[in-house]
This record gives sequence, structure tokens and C-alpha cells, in this order.
Amino acid sequence: MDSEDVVLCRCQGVGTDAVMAAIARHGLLTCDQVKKLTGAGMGWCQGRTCAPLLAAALAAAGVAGDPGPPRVRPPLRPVPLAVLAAGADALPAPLGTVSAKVLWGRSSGDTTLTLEPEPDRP
Amino acid sequence: MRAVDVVVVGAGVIGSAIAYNLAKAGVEVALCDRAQPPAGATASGASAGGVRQQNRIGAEMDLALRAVEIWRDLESELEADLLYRRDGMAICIDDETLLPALRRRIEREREAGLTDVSLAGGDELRRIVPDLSPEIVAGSWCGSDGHADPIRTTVGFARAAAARGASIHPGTPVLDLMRSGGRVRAVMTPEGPLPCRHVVLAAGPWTPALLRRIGCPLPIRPGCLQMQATAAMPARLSPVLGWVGHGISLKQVPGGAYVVGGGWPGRGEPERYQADVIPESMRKSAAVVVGLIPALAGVPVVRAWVGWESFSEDDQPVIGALPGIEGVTVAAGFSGHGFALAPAVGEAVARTVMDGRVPDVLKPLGPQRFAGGVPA
Ligand SMILES: Cc1cc2nc3c(=O)[nH]c(=O)nc-3n(C[C@H](O)[C@H](O)[C@H](O)COP(=O)(O)OP(=O)(O)OC[C@H]3O[C@@H](n4cnc5c(N)ncnc54)[C@H](O)[C@@H]3O)c2cc1C
Ligand code: FES
Repeated sequence: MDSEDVVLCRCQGVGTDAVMAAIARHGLLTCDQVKKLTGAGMGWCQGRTCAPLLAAALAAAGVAGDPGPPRVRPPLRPVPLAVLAAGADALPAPLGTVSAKVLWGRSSGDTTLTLEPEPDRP
Repeated sequence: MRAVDVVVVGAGVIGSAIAYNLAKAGVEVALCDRAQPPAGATASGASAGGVRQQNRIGAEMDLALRAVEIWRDLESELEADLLYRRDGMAICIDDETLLPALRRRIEREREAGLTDVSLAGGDELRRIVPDLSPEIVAGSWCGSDGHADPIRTTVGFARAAAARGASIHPGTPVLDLMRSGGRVRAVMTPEGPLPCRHVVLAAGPWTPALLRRIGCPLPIRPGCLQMQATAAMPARLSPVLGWVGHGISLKQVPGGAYVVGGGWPGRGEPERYQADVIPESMRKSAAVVVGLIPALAGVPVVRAWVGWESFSEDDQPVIGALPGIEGVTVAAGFSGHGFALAPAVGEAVARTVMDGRVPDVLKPLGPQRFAGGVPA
């Protein structure tokens, strides 16, 4: 960011210049597209601070119509990994877990390298 | 609509890479997507972005090797910052009894042409990743593996295709294929037929719906995969990490977030392009992260997301001309590992479409391998 640039998303350190440039370069139309391409709105506050600024940037770039809210993804409040992890081992495996064997190729036939249960895909 | 040589159906990373290679060769190509790519709940929008060669079986290894050759210069070729990093990948083990199998895997991959892969001891890995758990005893290390941003890559291919003359049609679902005399003549869209001589079906898990319309079923099914990411943190992890038997792929992207995948499921309705996060998947996946790098325990997760991937019966992609009908090529079923391959798939499929010959890298992956899956 150069010194003239105004910070648009504090959490992610994305400047207004980068957002305006992405809107122009990719012909972006919605907040969600701006978010995906610039990272603005993907930080700690989940866009609570910068969502209105994203909409304003689109309007300033001459985009007509409703830019829509950026899609809100869970968790709504940041949760430390260790807090999420607490007690997780006791949970049953969620249905549909794709085994490492599937996801990472069949390991050249070595089933010993892939200790996940067989896939039970949806 | 104006006639073109080729219609590519689906502007995910695969369809976009194919359209780019066709346009670059001067072919008149139209790239159609039902949504505004990278569309919500699709694999190319949700991908973990790992660019890995190791742990590929024979059929995919040549494609992976070629892909990484292309990845090397892809950013300058597409004139786009794809956040590509080639800082290696380690697949770790915490159990010494797995060592012989790991050695065999590495040996086979070296014989298949991946000379960069080798066995690394636990301490060697901890020199590269200082925070790695002391439980890790060894791993396979491949220095030319890496990662890139899937959304930038998808959009980058589509933009570069447009810059070379491809016509891009977002918000244009292909509803049907129109045939006569045993060959495809057009695709049907809400704005009417789009005449063409060739169709490439790269519609991910929505490919079978189109295949059914022309009576060519293939064993490809949707599966929903879930991801999560932390807040941006100071740069500390450069390679990608995996952990045998534990369901994890972990990387720190250039923006600072740790991005976590590993095959944990989401849920939803693929027919409606809809998908939701499963909280248990977030919790299980978080436990694996803390097990692999205990120092990350206090780092907050700020979001989770999901995408529908197409899985084939043998978990290898299905790429090639459909028998029984002239002019239809399929590229789907990437089974959770297609992002890395996209540059090479784009190149190889464009070649098949243009001169009708199947390049060696695609020979093991044709739809003919599913006996009974395709009517003669
Ligand atoms: C969570 C997750 C993590 C992953 N991690 C990795 C990884 O680390 N490394 C790796 O190599 N791979 C990874 N993959 C796999 C990789 O992302 C996919 O293989 C790849 O993105 C597939 O791209 P695609 O273009 O085939 O499909 P898609 O991205 O699904 O694209 C298909 C497109 O077709 C469109 N479409 C559907 N029907 C129609 C129609 N009738 N008309 C017009 N358009 C239509 C859709 O809107 C969509 O845009 C991951 C996948 C997921 C889901
Ligand atoms: S200010 Fe943009 S995510 Fe917090």
C-alpha cells in the first residue's frame, strides 16, 4: 500500500487502491466477488467493519444495482483452534468423510499408507 | 447465437484452462457457465489450492509432472498474480511401522519420473517446519510441490482466454446437447441454440446430468468437501503439510491465513448448487491441526466453507472423447485433486479436440475404462 492509499479492510490490510483496481480489472459486480479476489472482508471481524466500504467502493466504481452482502461464513466469531478441537476426538466421524486414499490418490496401491476408514460418500 | 468451433461447458478451473489453450491455438471457443465463476459451492471456488505431484498413481503422475512444468511460468503467461508458491510439501507419519510402505511409495514415484521426492527424517522436517509436532518421525518431502490461489487461477485462465479471443458467457446454463447424424451440432441455452462443431463437458459434478441427456452415463458422483481458515498470522509455514491417516492438508497462504483441508465433509443439495458447513467437521479438522502443529492452538479460525467436487468410480479423472457420438469430450471426475492438474489438462484436452489424437498423458484416463458405463 502506498502512503496515499486508504485502508479499506483493516483486518486483512487491504487498501482501497487494490480493491478499486480489482473491480476495474475483473469487472466485479458484487461484494462477494470483491471479497474472493482481494481478501477484503475475510478477516477477524468477518467484514463487519469493511462490508459497507466494499459496497461503497463498488458504487464509486460505477457499478449499478445491489452489490449484495458478502456471504457470511461460520464461525461468526473467531474461535481458537484448540477451543474447536476440545472433545472432538470423541465425536463420531461426520458422514461422508472422504478418505486420504481417495483425496490424495490411491497411494500407488499401498493401503497401509492410508489409515482412514473407507469412504462413505454422500 | 453466433456459431463457434468449440463450446466449453463449465468455467471452473478445468473448463477455463481448456478454453484458454484452445483460444491460444486460434480456435474459436465459447466458455459457458450457469453462474458467475468461480461460482459458490463449486470445487474451483472452494479448493485448497494444493499443487502436488507426490502421492499420485501412475495414471496421474505424467499429468502432474507436466502441470508443474507449466505452473513454473504460468503467472507470466497469464499475466496474473496467482499467489503460486513452490516451497515444497511434506507428507508426515507418526508411526515407524509405516516407514517401509512410505519408502516403497517414494521409490515408485521416483521411478515414475518424480525425482524430487525423497524420505526425510523427523528432525530434518523440523528444520523446515520448526513447530512440527515431536511425534512426527518421518515424511516424504517433495521440494517442487506447492500451492496457488484457486480463485485467481480460475479467473486468470478465463480472462486470458477472453484476451485471446474466447467469448465468455457467465450466467448461461447449457441445458442440452443438440445432435444429428451421430454428431453434436449445438448446445441449447436459455437464449437459444449455440451452434458448434465440438463440445467439452467440464461441468464438475453437474456433468452427469448433461451426459444423461445424450444417453452416455458415466460413474461420476458429487461429494461435498469442507475447508476452514484462520485469521492472518505472521509468515511461519512455507511448505504444504499432510499427515498420513489424519485427514489434513495445511498451508499458510501469502495473505497470512492458515488454510486447512483434508477431506472433511460438508453437506447440501448439489442439484440446487447449495452446500453448508458441518460443525463436527470443523472440530475434527481443528483437532488434527493442533496435533500436527501444537503451537497453532491459540490461532483463531475465522471462516469455513464447502464445495461440491465430482468423484469418479476409481477416483481418477475421466478425460476424453465419448464413444458413440462425434464431437463430445468430457473432463470431469477429478476426485479432490484436480486443481494442480488444470494447466496440463487444459493443454492436453485442447490438443485432443484440435487434432483428434489422444496424447499419451490422457491415454489411461479415457471414459472407455468404465465397462458398461458407456454404451457401445
Ligand atoms: C474443498 C476442496 C479442496 C480441494 N483441494 C484441492 C487441492 O488442494 N489440490 C488439488 O489439486 N485439488 C483440490 N481440490 C479439487 C479441485 O479443486 C477440483 O478438482 C477442481 O476445482 C475441479 O474443477 P472443475 O472445473 O472440474 O469443476 P467445478 O469447479 O465444479 O466447475 C464446474 C463449473 O460448471 C458449471 N456448470 C455446471 N453445470 C452447468 C451447465 N449445465 N451449464 C453451464 N455451466 C455449468 C458450474 O457452475 C461450475 O462453475 C479440492 C476440491 C475441494 C472441493
Ligand atoms: S475489516 Fe475487513 S474483515 Fe475486518
